[in-house]
Amino acid sequence: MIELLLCGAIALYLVTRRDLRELALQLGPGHRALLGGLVVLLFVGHLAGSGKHSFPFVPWDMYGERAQGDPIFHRFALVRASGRQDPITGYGPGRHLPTQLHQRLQSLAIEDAASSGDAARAALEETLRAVARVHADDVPDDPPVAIEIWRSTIPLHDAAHPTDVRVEHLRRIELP
Amino acid sequence: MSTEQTLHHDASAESLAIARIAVFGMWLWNVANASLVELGRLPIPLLEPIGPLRLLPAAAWAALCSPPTLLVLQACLIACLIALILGVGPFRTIAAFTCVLLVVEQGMIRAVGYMTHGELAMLYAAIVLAAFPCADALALRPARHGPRDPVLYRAPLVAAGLTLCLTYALCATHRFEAGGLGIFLDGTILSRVALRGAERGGLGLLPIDHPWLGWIILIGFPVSTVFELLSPLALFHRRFRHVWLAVIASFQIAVSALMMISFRGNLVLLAIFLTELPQLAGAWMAQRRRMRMRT
Repeated sequence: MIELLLCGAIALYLVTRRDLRELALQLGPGHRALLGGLVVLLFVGHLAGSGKHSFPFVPWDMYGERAQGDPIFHRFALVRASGRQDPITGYGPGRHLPTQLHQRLQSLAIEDAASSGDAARAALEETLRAVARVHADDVPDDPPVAIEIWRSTIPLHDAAHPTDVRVEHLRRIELP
Repeated sequence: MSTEQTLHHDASAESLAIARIAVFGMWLWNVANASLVELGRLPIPLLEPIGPLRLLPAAAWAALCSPPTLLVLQACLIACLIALILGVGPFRTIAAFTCVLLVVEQGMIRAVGYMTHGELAMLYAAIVLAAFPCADALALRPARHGPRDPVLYRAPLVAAGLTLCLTYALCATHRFEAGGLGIFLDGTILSRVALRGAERGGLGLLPIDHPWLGWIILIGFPVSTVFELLSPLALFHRRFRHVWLAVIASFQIAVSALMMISFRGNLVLLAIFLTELPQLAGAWMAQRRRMRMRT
């Protein structure tokens, strides 16, 4: 409700700005419709749904949820026949994933950790296998044989060692 | 009502051209570095069409998701963006076509099922610029035309600034709704900073080890959120705009260092659309041209 009220207040502020109205009135009807429509779509996209339908007008919902418990993230690595491990990541020097795919893997792994069902695990493993297939030929004569998954926990609630990141090996997915 | 001179009041063909080169130049860098073809090598069931791409029939979606099509899309975009930066060809036609391609490209990137916001302010700026005469100056082939109403140079700069301000303001409205006031009091921001910092190799764990830094972030979070909420005011009030720019730019530079989230694009957009830099640069160019003609 507060979001709607604040959006309404911003829209009201803009509508009542005389200088903005005068600028709009100096434009032709086509330009006015385009710019007005763009602003309206920004509000509508923000307030309606997940953005999957309204893209490129989407909810601006970054860092709005409250954190619960210790922060957790996952690391993935492609294990090749030679034993070499290539990180599957969208960041840093070993980056070879689009950042959106990196984030998708992180959210699937969190869903997997939070749910007791098999659906989240299946979705995570299917995506990881697909990434492995995409990178199968990156190293000649050294095909991927497995994927390793680790979970890292930052123990912020451990007053003595809050930045000693705990790394736990979760599982290994064998590739056909 | 403010009586001070409004932002971009003396915008010229040169200042709008500078905005054109900056915005489409950033897009060129972005598109050239996108891993589009890699997305095309993923199985189609892992890709979900979003926005206007949902209207495509299944066969067209499958064709779009193939590496050759994505390579063609990327090549087309690069060619169009170079034409827009250099100012060759009919600007509005090429720019409108480029914006359509950019929506497709950005939709493809997000089809993996994760919505990011990084390039969207830049996309809105491109859409605004596409409708105005941005190639009247600083172009290899400037558009031939009679005298133009100066409002056609000023309005797109103000409108792109407004869309940029709205992205900040909308973000703040959601934070107040979803997190309430509690989000500013329970250390959520330190948890997020630590998470991204540790995951991506940023400095995000420093504020945990150095409590004074943690306090700066804890206090800075509500302050920057209030400034985000008040973003539309920055468009109309010069003094507030200067403070707003200092707060928002510092916030974005801090986030870049701590969380490895790049705000390069937004910082350039702020410089172009929320300062008088395009006018200053345009005036400097005009002065140089006059001096050259005299000599």
